[in-house]
Amino acid sequence: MIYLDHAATTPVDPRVRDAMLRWLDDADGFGNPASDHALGRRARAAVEAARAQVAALLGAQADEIVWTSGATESNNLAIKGALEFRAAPGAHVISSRIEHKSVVDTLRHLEAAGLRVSWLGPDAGGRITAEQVLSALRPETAIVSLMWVNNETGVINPVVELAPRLRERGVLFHVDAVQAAGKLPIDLAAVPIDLLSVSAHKCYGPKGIGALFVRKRPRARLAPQLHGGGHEQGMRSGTLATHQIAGMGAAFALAAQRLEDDARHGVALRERLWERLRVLPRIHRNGDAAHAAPHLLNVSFEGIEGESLRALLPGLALSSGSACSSATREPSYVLRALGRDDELAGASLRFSPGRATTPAQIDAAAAQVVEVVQALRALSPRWDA
Amino acid sequence: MAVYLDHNATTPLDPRVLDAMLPYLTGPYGNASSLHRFGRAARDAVERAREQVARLVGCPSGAVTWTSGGTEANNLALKGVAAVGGPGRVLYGATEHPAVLEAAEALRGQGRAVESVRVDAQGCVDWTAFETQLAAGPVLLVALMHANNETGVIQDIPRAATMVQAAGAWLHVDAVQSAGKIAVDFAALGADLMSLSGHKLYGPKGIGALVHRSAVDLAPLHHGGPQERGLRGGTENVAAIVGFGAAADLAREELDARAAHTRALRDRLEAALGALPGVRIFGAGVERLPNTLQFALAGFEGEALLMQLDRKGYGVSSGSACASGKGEPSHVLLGMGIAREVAAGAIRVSLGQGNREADIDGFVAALRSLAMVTTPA
Amino acid sequence: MSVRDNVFAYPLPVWSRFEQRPHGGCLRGADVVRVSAATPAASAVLELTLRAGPTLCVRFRAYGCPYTLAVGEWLAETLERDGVAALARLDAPAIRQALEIPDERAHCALMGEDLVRALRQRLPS
Repeated sequence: MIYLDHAATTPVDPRVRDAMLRWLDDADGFGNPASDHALGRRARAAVEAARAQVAALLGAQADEIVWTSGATESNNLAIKGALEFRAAPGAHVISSRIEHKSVVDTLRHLEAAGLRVSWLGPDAGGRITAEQVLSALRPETAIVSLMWVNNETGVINPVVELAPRLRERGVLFHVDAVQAAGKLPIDLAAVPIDLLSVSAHKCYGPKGIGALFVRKRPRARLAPQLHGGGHEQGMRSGTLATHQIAGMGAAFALAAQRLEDDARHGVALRERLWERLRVLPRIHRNGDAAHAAPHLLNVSFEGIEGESLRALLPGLALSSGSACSSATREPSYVLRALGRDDELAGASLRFSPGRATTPAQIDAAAAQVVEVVQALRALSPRWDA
Repeated sequence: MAVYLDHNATTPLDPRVLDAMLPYLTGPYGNASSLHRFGRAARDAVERAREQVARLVGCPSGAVTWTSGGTEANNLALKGVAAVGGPGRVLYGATEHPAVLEAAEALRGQGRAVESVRVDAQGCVDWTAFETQLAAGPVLLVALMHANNETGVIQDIPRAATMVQAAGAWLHVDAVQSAGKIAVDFAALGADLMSLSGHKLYGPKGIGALVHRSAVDLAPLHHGGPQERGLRGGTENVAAIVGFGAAADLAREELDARAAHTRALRDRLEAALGALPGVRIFGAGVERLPNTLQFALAGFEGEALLMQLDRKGYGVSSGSACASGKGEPSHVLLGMGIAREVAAGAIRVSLGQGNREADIDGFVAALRSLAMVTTPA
Repeated sequence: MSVRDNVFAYPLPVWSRFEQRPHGGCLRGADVVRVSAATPAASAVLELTLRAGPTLCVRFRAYGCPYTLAVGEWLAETLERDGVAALARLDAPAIRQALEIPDERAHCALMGEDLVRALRQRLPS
């Protein structure tokens, strides 16, 4: 099995695992970080050390980091929390059609309750432009929510360029940076983003833990979405899971150290894979290669059906635009937003190599894909070579 | 190494639970919602754990929804029901955990009529007042905890359930403190919703569950993704879920032995405290969790006493871990009509499987010496 | 003999005929009978080519999901083994039963039935 699905989730790095185990198997490691005794203080110190590690990767201050159960909660908290705090009737939000489900579903839910949302569509390269966002602004625009890197295509949106221009206009800017953290340099000291969501398990950390950056100066204000106990400066209640948090801290510290190496490695593998797939005619790289994150390659294959393509590649762990077996999934809404038809969106594969992926694995994966695509095309009465 | 007497705040992870989790911390690292083989292995593990948790509380596994912990489960129950549940008041017990209390107050902020349910001096529901309250108009949801986190007082949930059902309302039961300590049977309690937490029963932190009957309509708190049948978006925390499942299995198998172990220690402590002058034990007249004892020592300030006990190596708390450090007397004790100055001196001892008689004796000795040194003549 | 793992748990009669397709292909020539069928939105296409004679030869081509391909392979295999007489008893329920096709994929078997009907019309009995 060749694992090429690092954009979905990553293995926990052994060093991260060790950092977590310290708080799972140590007799003094299990305290509740909110407790006021020796064990509680010990756990609290670990939580604060991890907070500083996460902040460091993002160029933030430690007290700007709020722990959550993952990016889905971070995105929910950012959007619902900011809108609820402002409590502005008839508020307007700008977002895009290629956001992660946790942003799309949250906004759709609020839309049903009266929120007005401008859904921007990407250009043919899969990008939302800064001009698009700026021209969608209205006097009552409360928030712009835009992802830094798209999780299907890897396309980088111009959030760095956009942030100061939204700041000038006093519009709160939320960025889903789940696919950007640890992949691209992020410096929140220089880029005036107000709210930014990150997740540990896309960065060789554990599942079930994420964070929301909430800017202190100028202060981004949120109404809490989980009540009870007043943890996390009142913004997010619930017992902190020390081992998860320590794991996220270690993962982000590692990501900071390895940022350039990881990016170089990712780009090399991504381009190697694309070169090997290009022996096939009539395939399409989804998303503008000039603005691509290092770890993603998304390709559509003409003339074949998506489910059969996926089913004949059981040796590859990757995501596809089509569902197999009884699982229900629509052809990717992101690829359709890019202008691919249902068939082509369905016959697409998302490859995301990671730290441990080797060039030999890339070659083997490419060979399997090429063989299967050729076989299915040869069998198709609709394919005229 | 300190003596840990704060198991209601959190418990150590059972080494057997850790063993069950380890393969999922580094092993088949699939996203449980992914379609490939790694993902399928993760999904199977998640479903096994769901059955284990369901068995602990006697509900169908399909009734279990994973959350990030007890706080999220309580928030999901109250806000989830209120979001789609039509009109009617939301009632909650005066001694509920802050997660229920503050979630209910958040509903009030959205315009929902919210009332607290009175308890008597022992912390039990004032049944006459409750009956009148239920009859005073439509009620959507009643939230009552099974066992109190501070006093350990066990609420007569079946009795409440009969009344709540007759009033046409849903009953939510916070069973975070009772699960794993006493028998918890979702159906026998008559609950419609129930929250659980992993780290209170020797499982990992960061995982909990909401159990709910299919008849109860719920709106999600976290939108985004098909996980948990659309009720709770977000990539599943596979290792923690597996740990919660293993912990639930062990809690079920060892329930009686665990209860007997802590009960013996608790009784020993209670007897020893009874010999100290000026000790008041809260909820002493009613059924309590076998591991919990909350008391106050006349003339002492709880926070100061805790600090000194901590220095002597005893980890106890005044009450809820969440509220600690805020300097406010416990709302639980105030709700029971305990005077502020008495409540301010509260200390909660909550025992666990690692405690021994020597811990109790040492704690009592430490308390006695502090009381002797600092008691004004 | 399957070389890949059936990780998505397709019914085994489907998987074995999807994963290895000895009857995949297209016969050409004046003596070849060709029939095809498609789902309404043409999201799947199935085609059989057949050459009668002392040894009946049948091949299929398909564009579609694994069930579609398996139906093509199974029809070709069944006709070669049992002869055109088998056409009399082949219909959608028979195809579904043989391949264990679930309800939500029943349309794949219907395409197979369409092919069988077309063959009955084209072939002198």
